[in-house]
Amino acid sequence: MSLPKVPLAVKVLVPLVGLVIGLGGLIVTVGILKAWWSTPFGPAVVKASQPIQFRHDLHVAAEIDCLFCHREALKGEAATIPSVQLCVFCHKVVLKDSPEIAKLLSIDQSGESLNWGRVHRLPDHVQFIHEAHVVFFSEQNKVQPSQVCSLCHGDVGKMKVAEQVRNLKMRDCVDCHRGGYFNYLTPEAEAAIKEAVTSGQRRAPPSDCATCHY
Amino acid sequence: MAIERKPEPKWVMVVDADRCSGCQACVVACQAENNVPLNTDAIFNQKRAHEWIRIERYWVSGDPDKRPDEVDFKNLKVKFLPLMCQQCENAPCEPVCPVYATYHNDQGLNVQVYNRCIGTRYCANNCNYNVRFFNFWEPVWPETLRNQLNPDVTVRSRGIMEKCTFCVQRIRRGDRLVKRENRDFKDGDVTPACVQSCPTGALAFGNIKDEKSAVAKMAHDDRHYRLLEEQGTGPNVIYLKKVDLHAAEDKAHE
Repeated sequence: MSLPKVPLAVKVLVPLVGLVIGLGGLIVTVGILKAWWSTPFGPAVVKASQPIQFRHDLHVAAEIDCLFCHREALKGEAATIPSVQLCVFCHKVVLKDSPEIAKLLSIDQSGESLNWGRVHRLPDHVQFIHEAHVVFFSEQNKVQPSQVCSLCHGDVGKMKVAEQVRNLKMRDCVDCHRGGYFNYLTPEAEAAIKEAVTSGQRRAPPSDCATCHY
Repeated sequence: MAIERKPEPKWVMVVDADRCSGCQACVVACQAENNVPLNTDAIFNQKRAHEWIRIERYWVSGDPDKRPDEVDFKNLKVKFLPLMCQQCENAPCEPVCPVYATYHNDQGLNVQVYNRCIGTRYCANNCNYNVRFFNFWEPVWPETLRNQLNPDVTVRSRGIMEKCTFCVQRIRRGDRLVKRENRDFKDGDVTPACVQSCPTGALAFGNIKDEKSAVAKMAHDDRHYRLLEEQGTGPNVIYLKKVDLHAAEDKAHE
């Protein structure tokens, strides 16, 4: 009795194909799981196309406070994007011959709306409150409110085009609320907060679902 | 180690049925504040209409021996009962959720987490008050109402259960207000849309742990009762009974 003779090509091909399918499946599964639970592979950078090439770096270099344009960051939910009128307030004088600013001025003349491309967009079922975060970190670290923004938004002062630097998934938020926020505090502030939380004078950052999801 | 932390507030609504005129202002205000989808006649007839707060209307006949449809219109009495999620202490909707999308938080609110909800509808079936609403369709607003949507509230998509939240977005705003001013909650810090819009002051909202608050005083009114209290759900909405001058003649309920 002898086994049927298998051609050499099949003997080589079958394990090869099996290996490819198996490895491919493994890579896809790991990719999906990693994307779901933590940071997806690759740089988590989001860029948006803008109607006007606004230069954050120039405005920061000119020492304009973040809160001068993003006026509600200290008062409410959204940091808000400035109105065209606020841009024109300076730019009717400053650099009014530049081609990008000519676009801005013509939009202001025509009365159309300026639809900026949104860079940081959380899902609709998440409510992020700028006020609470900016006030907490600026009070604890004893710094100006506009020095807090970079914790989440990166060093905007070096960006020609604004981009998202953190992945801002729920893991990112929850890690910080569960104790990761100590990394962004000065040593004195960290010690004071730890003391206040353990003695019960202060609440730890909330981890109730209804803090953000409503 | 002494704990000096202020206790969490416990939110309670008081509905004075005697003052309710059934004008539906609360229904409209709620619809606008909370991005509640619009209802059409067809949706209503399917009993799939969304009304986070609704006015229940009861006809009562002046004559104790006759049913309401047997008496003259002039002898009919009408009772209105605004009904919203009762934020039950022992909520029947909570244990039946397979994904913990609804739970109680430390402020006594019955929270619905939209992104956890998978739409089994068990909670709506187990609710004693019929105040949970399921999105059978993707919500649609006419073009003219697009800028009316409240950015602080999620727009619920298809397949999601939703219900009254006691305007939790306004409670969060109140949280930040008292934190900024470093004080306790007082009346008026948090006003849900229905309470704000009520022209007769039939609705009141506040922190019942604060003994000076209006709701704490109204909760001890002689007329107070809670809906379906005997079922042990422990509602956090307190109703004050409608005063009926001829109630002594009415033997139907005795």
